[in-house]
Amino acid sequence: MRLLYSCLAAVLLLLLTATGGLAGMAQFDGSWTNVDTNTRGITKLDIAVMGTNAKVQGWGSCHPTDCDWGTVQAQAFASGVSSDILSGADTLIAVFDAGFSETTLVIKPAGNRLIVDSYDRFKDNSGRSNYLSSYTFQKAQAPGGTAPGGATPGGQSPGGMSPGGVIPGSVPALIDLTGVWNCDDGGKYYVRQLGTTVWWYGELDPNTPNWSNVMRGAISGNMINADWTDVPKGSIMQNGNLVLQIASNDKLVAISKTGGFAGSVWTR
Amino acid sequence: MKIFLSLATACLLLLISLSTCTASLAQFAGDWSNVDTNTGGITTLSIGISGNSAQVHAWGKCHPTDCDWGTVSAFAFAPDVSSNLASQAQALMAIFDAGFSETTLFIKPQGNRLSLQSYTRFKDSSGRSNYASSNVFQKTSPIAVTGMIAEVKPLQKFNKLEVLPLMRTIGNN
Repeated sequence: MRLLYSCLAAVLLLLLTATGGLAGMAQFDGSWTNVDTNTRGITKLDIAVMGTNAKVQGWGSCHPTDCDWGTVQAQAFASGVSSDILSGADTLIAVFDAGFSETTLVIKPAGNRLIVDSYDRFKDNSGRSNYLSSYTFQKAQAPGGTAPGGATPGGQSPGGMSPGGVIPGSVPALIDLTGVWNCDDGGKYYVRQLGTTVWWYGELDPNTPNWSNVMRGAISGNMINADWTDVPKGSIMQNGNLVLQIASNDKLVAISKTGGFAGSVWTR
Repeated sequence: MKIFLSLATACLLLLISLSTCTASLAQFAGDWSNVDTNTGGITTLSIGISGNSAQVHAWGKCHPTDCDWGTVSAFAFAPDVSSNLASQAQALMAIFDAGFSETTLFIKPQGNRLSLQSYTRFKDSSGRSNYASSNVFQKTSPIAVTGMIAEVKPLQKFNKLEVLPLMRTIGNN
């Protein structure tokens, strides 16, 4: 009977050590990829742990290469004020400041994975809503046939961008806005996208439009920051700025408008 | 009849549960107390909402009376960048800076309660460990209107020449 108990205890210990694996700071260490390969948010995290210090590097989904948010010092938290952070840390908080926005990541282990709550808040008075996203990350596969330094999204090296999904020079994957669009202002818009730049010509009526305008914008993440102006095919002469959200490849939504622009939603 | 009543009750419960699940800034508003009355952490939250803005007032466990942490503006978070914060907010973040330490609260609705994740980090090089804690808060019961309060009203009806009820009682004795 004793032998049986000893064997059971040994098996239990073995199981615990095998499944429990790392605890404390060590469990965060490594290169992590989002289990949702189609995410338009954070694609990858690299967490470097040295003692009780942790540095977090994040990448956001961008095209053609993911956006590098850079590396920040993270804060580690344990369960009590007298806990040992090295062995008892159960949360990391990392804050990425992109100037116009700030992203706070709350990173917690869940088995062999990480659960990451991302709190994005805008500081640019653009009218965009702060938003919360949750992601699950798994350990990236060890290098071998992939790019040096571990798995990089899409097999490409990270770019040089920042958080918030609004990064100059970056375009979400699979976005091509070129085409003819209809807007809820009754107008038709002829859109051309070249890389991260987008133009349009819009008019209410092809023969004698009340208004007609042109726009030039820069795509940043899933947003377009643009200037627009009426042109004298129509009679109205106004101009201003637009911030558009690329809701999908076939839908644009105005987040902020100046100059009396009427349209809010474009579809095709 | 019984079946009808059961169905009506079920529908009512469903409606109530649906309404309580709907995310909005309004659901954070009010006075909240920690369900753990023995907590050594935050005991009470008072959350005020005005439009898209939220103010969080917190109290921590102290003796003989709880410590007032003061009031800070909180950030509200919706599911998406184009969401309406007033009607779709699903989390609040409030940061209390005590100088030597900073506590960040992440507050989320959990049915009729609030789930609170609290992260305190020390800035005073004291060697104390940053720590996290989780708590659940429930709406503080409004002050019940008791018979005593209800009985106060009739006093307004007495004019100066009438004897107050207390004196009558003494007199009767």
